[in-house]
Amino acid sequence: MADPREWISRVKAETPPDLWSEVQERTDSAPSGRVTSPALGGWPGRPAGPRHAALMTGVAAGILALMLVAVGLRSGPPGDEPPTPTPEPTPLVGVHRQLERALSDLWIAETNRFLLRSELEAAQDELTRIVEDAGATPTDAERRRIEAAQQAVDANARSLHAARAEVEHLRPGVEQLRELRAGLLPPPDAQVYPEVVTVRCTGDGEGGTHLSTPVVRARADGARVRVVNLFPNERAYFVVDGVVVHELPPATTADVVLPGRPSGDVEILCTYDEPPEFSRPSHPLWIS
Amino acid sequence: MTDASEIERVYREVGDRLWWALLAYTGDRELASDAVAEAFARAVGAADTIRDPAAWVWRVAFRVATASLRTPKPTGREAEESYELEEGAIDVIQALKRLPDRQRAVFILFYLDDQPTAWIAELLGMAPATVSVHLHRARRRLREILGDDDG
Repeated sequence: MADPREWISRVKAETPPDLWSEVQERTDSAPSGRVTSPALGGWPGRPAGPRHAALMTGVAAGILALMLVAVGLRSGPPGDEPPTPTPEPTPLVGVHRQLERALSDLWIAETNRFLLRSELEAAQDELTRIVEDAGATPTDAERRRIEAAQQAVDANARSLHAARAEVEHLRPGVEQLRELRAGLLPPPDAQVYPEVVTVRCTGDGEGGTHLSTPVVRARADGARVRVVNLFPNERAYFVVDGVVVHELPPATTADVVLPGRPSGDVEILCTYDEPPEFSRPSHPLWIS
Repeated sequence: MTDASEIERVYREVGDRLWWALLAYTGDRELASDAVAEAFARAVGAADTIRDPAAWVWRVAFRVATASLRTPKPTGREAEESYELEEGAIDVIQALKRLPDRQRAVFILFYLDDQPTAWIAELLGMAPATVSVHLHRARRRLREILGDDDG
C-alpha cells in the first residue's frame, strides 16, 4: 500500500457536483419550523421517503433505547442522589485540580505517542516493501522511492522521539503532585467533602477521567460514585484499582457503590474499547 | 449566530471536501450527494441556532450517510456504483468498504481531509485515543486487503 494520503487522494479524481440548487430546493420544499438539533434529524411534518423514514425510525429507536438505559441505570442504588457538590477550596482540592490537569496532559501525550508509533510502523513496512520489490539492482526510479520512504521513516522516528520526550517530561510533574497530595492525607477536614464523587468520562481535554472531589465520605454501606459517560458513541468502563466494576453504554450515567473499602486511596479510571497497550494514567481518590 | 448566506459560504468552502469524504465513506455518488444536500438543507433551516456551521454540517452529513448505508438498497445498485466511478477510485473505495463504518470514517477524515484527531473525535463522538486506535487498525487492515498490488 502506498502512502495512505496519496492513495486515498485518488477519490479526489471524482468531480463533485454543485449541490447548492438541490439544497435550495430541499429548503424551499420543507415547511417552516425546521429542526434545531442534528441529533433530532429530519423535518417536522415533512413527507418521508423510504430513506428518511428509515433514518427517523432509527433515530427514534435510538432515543428510546437511550432513555430506557438511562432510566435503568438511574433506578439502581443509590439513584436518588442529588448532584454532587464541588467541595470548597482546601489545599487538597487545589492540588487535586492541578493533578487532574497534569494527568490529562500526560494522557494526551501518551495518545500522541501511540499514534506516532503506529505511523512509524507503517512507514517502516512501506520501506521494507519497496526495498524488497526493488531487489538487488534497483532502477533510478526505485532508488528515489526508497529514498523518499527512508525520509518518511526518519521524519516519523523524529516525531516519535519528541513525543516520548514529552511523556517523560510530564511524568515527574505528575509524580510531584501525587507526593504533594500524599502529604495532605488523611484529610484533617474530611467532613467538608461530599458523600458522592462524580466521575466524568469525558472528551474535554482529550478523553479523560475527571473526579469532582479528591475525597469522598463513605456511608455505612460503602462509597458512592456517580459515573457519567459523556461520549455519545463510546462505551466506557469504570475501573477501580485495575478492575472493571461497571460498564456504561454511550451517554449514560450510573450510580455505583464501592462497598467494604477501608479508609484510604483507590485508583479510578475511565477506559474505552482500546487495545491493552493503551495504559491510561489513573486518578487517585481518598475514601474517608 | 448564522444565516442562510453564511451556510452557502460554508458550502462553497467545504462542500467539495465533504462530498469526497462521503464518496469515500459510502462508495456511492448518489448517497454522497444526498447526504451533503440534506445536511446543508437542514443547516439552512436551523441556521439561526448553529454556532459552528461547518462542524455541524460535517456531523449531520456523516449521520445521514450512515443511516443511508444501513438502509437496504434495490438489487443491482452495486454494479451501477462501480460503473459510475473513475477507475482509479474504484479499488480504493472497494477496499474501504471492507472496513467497519467507524474505522472507515476515521481513516477518511484523517487521510483524505487532513483533520486532526481531536476534531475527528469530536465529530464522531468518540475519545481521541479511540480515533488513534481506529486509524491504526484501518491502516493495518487496508494493507492486508491491498497487499502489494497497489503503489
